[in-house]
Amino acid sequence: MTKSLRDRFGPYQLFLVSMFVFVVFAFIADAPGDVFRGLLRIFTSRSLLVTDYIAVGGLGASFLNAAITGCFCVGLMRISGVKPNGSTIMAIWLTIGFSFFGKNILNMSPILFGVFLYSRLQKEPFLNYSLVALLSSTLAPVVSEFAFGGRFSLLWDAVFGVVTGIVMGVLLPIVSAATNKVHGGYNLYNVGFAGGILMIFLVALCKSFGITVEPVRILSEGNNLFLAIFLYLMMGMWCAFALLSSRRDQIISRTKRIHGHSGRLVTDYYLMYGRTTYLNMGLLGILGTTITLALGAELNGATLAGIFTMMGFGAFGKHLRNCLPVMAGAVLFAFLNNPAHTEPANILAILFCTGLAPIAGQYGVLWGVLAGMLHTCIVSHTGLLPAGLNLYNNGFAAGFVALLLVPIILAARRAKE
Amino acid sequence: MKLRYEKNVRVLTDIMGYCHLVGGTSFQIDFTMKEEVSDITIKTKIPGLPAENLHEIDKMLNIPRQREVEQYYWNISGGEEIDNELGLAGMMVDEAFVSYENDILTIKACRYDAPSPDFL
Repeated sequence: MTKSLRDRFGPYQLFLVSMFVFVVFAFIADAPGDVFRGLLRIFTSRSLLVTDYIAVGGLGASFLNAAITGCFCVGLMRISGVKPNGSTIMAIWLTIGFSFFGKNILNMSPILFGVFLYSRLQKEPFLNYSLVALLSSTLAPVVSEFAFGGRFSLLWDAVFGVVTGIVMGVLLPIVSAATNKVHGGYNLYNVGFAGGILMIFLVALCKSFGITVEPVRILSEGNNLFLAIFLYLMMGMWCAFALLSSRRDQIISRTKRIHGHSGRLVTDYYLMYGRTTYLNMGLLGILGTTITLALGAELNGATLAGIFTMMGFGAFGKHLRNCLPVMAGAVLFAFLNNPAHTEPANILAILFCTGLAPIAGQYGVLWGVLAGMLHTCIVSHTGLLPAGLNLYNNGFAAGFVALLLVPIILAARRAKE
Repeated sequence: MKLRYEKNVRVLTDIMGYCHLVGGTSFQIDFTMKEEVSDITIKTKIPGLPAENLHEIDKMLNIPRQREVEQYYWNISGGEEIDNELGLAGMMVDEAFVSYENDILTIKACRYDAPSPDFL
């Protein structure tokens, strides 16, 4: 392969190729009119956790929404001058995944503007905050819930939603920097933890003034074949990008080295191992998809978010060796606890518990299994306080697990010394 | 540049942590903050340092600076543990020079603190 052809396999180019595939699948799934009508329904939905955009707008509209969000993220990174790295690859895939499950450019924009405003207040370039800006869209439901919740007039609702979103965008970089210290890098979804804490205060504040947030549970069913074909094609594409852009011996040695890392923040596989990282990402996506199907669960907007999150973190901390133990713990607990193991809460916990993969990577399989079990146990409870306004609820839960478990592990190790 | 001193100390701690992991127990540190650049030089005696480790230090510390990652993750605290994979330090350093002579490992890391020229 010539060097010039290899150069075309940069992450931003591949994102655009992937987004093109999303658009193709959007118009295979639904007629153009249905796609655009569905997109309007997505933009005007409350988007709270759990709102599956496939159920709200249909398959085609949710694929188009994901493509629009993906292109928007890539454009924003290019304009901000961010060179591709593992954290941006992760953040873009995370945002694309959650575009099936609560994010769209309408409800993300006020929060992004809030982060931009914060960078101006700090007299620093937006570039420095571009990563937290992308991740801050965990609070996108705040904008939709208040803008389309029907509390006041149409205009005042919109103003309320946008202003609250901007304020949250200003606050999130501050809170997320502080929460980083809490879990010591063992919770890969730090912004989810910060967002959950912020939302507890916002929900309590709203309640004090008589504004309540009603829970939502909208999930689609019956799309397993279509979505499985799409996911395996997408993951296969990224594996192929790796195979085409690196030599085989490089791929083998670098993949081995990736699996030697604990994955604890900050471990950027893309900067260290280049495009071999795509293979790791593809493999993790295949793992997520296969486990969901093997457990007999539904592929829907929520599980797609989980699978793309796993894939994205394949460039920034996760690999098969550190993910499998925590997932095994989560699966075990899902079979032991009360709701059926195929319940969405359990399936999402199994996919998203991999945010604790660094615990398995650093301390071994048994601690990893325990982390997965604890995560599945706590995650349904942590969703109650933020009232569905924080999309990365699993990150919120994982923060508590790391906060509890890591000191215990360290104490146990000290006792052994 | 906000929190300039604190971020420099973080880089210093990470590099020292790695050196300690590969056998360094005694350190000579030269840490200078000038108007636009911060220089950190660490010397430590490590007998028989494998070439593989030397290559890894050089590679990790010469990863292009990632200001957006630095801004968000610089203050991750490992509690009782020091990050010893040099991942974050590498992203916070503009250039590094690594040498190993007579069992002495010398690492010089530079951080330029001029405002970023990037758009926005």
